[in-house]
Amino acid sequence: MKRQKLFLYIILSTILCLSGCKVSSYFPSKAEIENLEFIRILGIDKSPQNPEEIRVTMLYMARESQPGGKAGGNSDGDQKGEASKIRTVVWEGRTVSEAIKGAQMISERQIFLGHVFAVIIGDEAAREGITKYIDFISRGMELRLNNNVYIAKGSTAEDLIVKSSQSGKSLPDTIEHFQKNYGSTSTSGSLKLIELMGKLDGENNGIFIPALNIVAQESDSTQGGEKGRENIAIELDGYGIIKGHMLIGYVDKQLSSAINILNNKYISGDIVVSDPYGYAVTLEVIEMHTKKEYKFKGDDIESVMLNIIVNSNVGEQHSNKNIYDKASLEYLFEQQADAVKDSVYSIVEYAQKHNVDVLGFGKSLFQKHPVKWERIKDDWDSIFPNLKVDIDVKSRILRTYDITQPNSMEDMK
Amino acid sequence: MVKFILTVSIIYVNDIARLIRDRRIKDIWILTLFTIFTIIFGIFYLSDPYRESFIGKLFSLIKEEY
Amino acid sequence: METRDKITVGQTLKLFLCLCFSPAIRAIPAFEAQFAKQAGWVAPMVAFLPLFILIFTFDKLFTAYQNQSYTDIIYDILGKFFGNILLFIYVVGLSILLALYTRYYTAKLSIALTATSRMELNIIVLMIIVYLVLRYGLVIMARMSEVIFVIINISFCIIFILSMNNIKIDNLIPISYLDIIPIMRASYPITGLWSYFTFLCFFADRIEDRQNLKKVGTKYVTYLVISTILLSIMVIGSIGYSVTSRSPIPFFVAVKNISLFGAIERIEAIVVTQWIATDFILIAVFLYVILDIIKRIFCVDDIRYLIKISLVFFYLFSFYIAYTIFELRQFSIEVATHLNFILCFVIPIVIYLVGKIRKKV
Repeated sequence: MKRQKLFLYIILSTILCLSGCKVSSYFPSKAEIENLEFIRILGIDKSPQNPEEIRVTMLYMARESQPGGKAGGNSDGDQKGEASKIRTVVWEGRTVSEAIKGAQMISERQIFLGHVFAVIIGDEAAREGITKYIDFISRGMELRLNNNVYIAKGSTAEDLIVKSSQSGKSLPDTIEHFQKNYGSTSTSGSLKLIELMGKLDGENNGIFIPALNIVAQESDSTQGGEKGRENIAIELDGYGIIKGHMLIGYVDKQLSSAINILNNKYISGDIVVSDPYGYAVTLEVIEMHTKKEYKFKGDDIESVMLNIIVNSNVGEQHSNKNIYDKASLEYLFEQQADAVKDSVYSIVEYAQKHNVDVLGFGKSLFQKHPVKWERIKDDWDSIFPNLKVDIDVKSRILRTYDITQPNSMEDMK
Repeated sequence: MVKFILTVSIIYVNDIARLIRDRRIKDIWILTLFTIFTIIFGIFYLSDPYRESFIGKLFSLIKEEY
Repeated sequence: METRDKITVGQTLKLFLCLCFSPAIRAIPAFEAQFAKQAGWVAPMVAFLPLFILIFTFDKLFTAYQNQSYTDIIYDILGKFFGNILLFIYVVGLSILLALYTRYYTAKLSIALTATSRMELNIIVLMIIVYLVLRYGLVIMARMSEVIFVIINISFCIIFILSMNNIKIDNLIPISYLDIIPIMRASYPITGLWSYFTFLCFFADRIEDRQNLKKVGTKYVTYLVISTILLSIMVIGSIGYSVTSRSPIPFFVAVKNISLFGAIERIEAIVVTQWIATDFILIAVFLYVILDIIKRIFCVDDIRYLIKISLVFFYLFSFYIAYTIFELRQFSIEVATHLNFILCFVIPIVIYLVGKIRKKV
């Protein structure tokens, strides 16, 4: 036994000590945690100065001891509180990988992408074609495929990231909030990189990516003697629509919620209608479900029937009348159904006009009628714009909350 | 190459010693045969570690591409 | 290789399941997604049948040849000369597969963990551990596989439960009659991989309760099929067939995506542990079988002195066999799949049929 061990030691030491290479090259490269810069948000743009290059913006949380300011050439603004810890690094390269590696050489610490949780693609980059800009992040070398993907609506990702960090707000916290709570209005959504990769591989998919918008708000509180200073907020504002792999435009919140309705991604939201007396009533949607039924004539698809079920609660009413009798409720049911129908017809019109199937028709046709889909999928581009769409909405209001009749109701006095 | 031949030699000597002690002539021949084969293969590979790989050669033989 | 110590059928089948796990997590979801797309997860159900046929074939052979190994059966049915030729072909085939899996082992580690570090140390450590185990023989290897089997199955169950949140039914349907041929195509490489059972029959003379092979084999094979289906559902359901077919390590990618309540995530280290353990078993078993066959070809009693020199040879061969992951992948699809099927599925059945014709079985 001792001889065997000795023998092993001789072999091992021979192999290692006579090696012409550094022993450290056999082991994974390592870094202490305090020497790592944990990037939280990655922004990818087309370079404004040099269209052949890619500009990468990386946002990280600085440590207490780090001085203020940002590397990469942009001016810094006021940063307060938690947000004073936010720093950005901006660099360019011919590829995303080259830009990130270039940024390593101006960063104080080793840039680590393992904790990136959101990737923002700039407007111009997305219009050119997103596949080249997301290839690096899709390969998952340090990054994960469950990162959230957003498009910077009408701006560059750099602008959005830099302005938000200057405004005193934490963009990572904001995006995390959007990712968890978009369902409260369902006027946009959440998209993981792995889902985007799968959709880009599909032939007939229209893709919708949540869009982030910079919103300037007038600040109405006095701060250090300056009144009415511009305050920047980031808004989750609908979807950017991708056809092929290029951004073709944006849809507003109403159309975005219709996209969510048709793709069964609508979680919750408000529908504001008028009661029989002309006052506003807020209906809080608690269930929205769409079923698509396809009518065929032989192998040809004739039409699609959208059966939408919407159930809601009364969240608010502005009149002081009793709207809970049968006639009034049925009036509200109809109003709700009409509101849903209007937004759905609008998105159908948009999608057919641009010939981009963001309605999920191709996908659901494939899942329900795979054999028929096999025969028509090659002609889907010509079928979809002319497809007849019928909508039937079954609308109900189920309940209200702690009180039913409003305060100071007329009949009560 | 030196590292490889040294390693194989140490292994060979270690194993052959036991076989010689037990007078297992057939096993000595088998071990020697395998060791020579391994050394030839090792010299062949290590003389040019960047030569076309086994799979590359096989694919060019069966006219397969990737 | 050296002793008359015996193992049970259960241990043998645990060895078999362990060595199936490594190619399963690397290759099976990718093959399924490539050939059968979203319906790929059904393919193991089709591959079940050939494996059953194989087990029944060996059961019949072992009933006719009590206490003898597959090597003895080959010699008896084909004769010494043709038997040696066939055994030599098995040695060459196994050697190629062993080098291939050794290379895959380091390639997986490079992709998943340490893209920039050199591979040599990984292989050397693996070879040393294989040597240490093989010195003590089959019984130790079988006992190790029992422990590893429990560990990898428990960890797989945990991973599957954690990934259930990511599995989307939309990624797994529809399944229609159009998918029949693609599913059968996807089951072909799985059949080849599961036919590695044949290699374990080379030491069947050291399995003590072979009469239970059919009964115990059915249970383990059923478990294998179910766990492979769950694996496929997990991978294709989580990341979709298009990404699965493009990934060299789809199971790892699926595990990377696991995130439960934002707290339980980044658990892919478990997968790496599974890989290393099962690759170790696979390489150890293959080497054991190669040396066992060589022992029979040269008619010697003990072949342990060849362990070290053969490990050195396979260390070099694993570098020479391929330089890039692209070569490995293409070789797996174009050559190794057919090699597995012919060596491990077709030949045993042919031997059985020849034995039947010659009235030896």
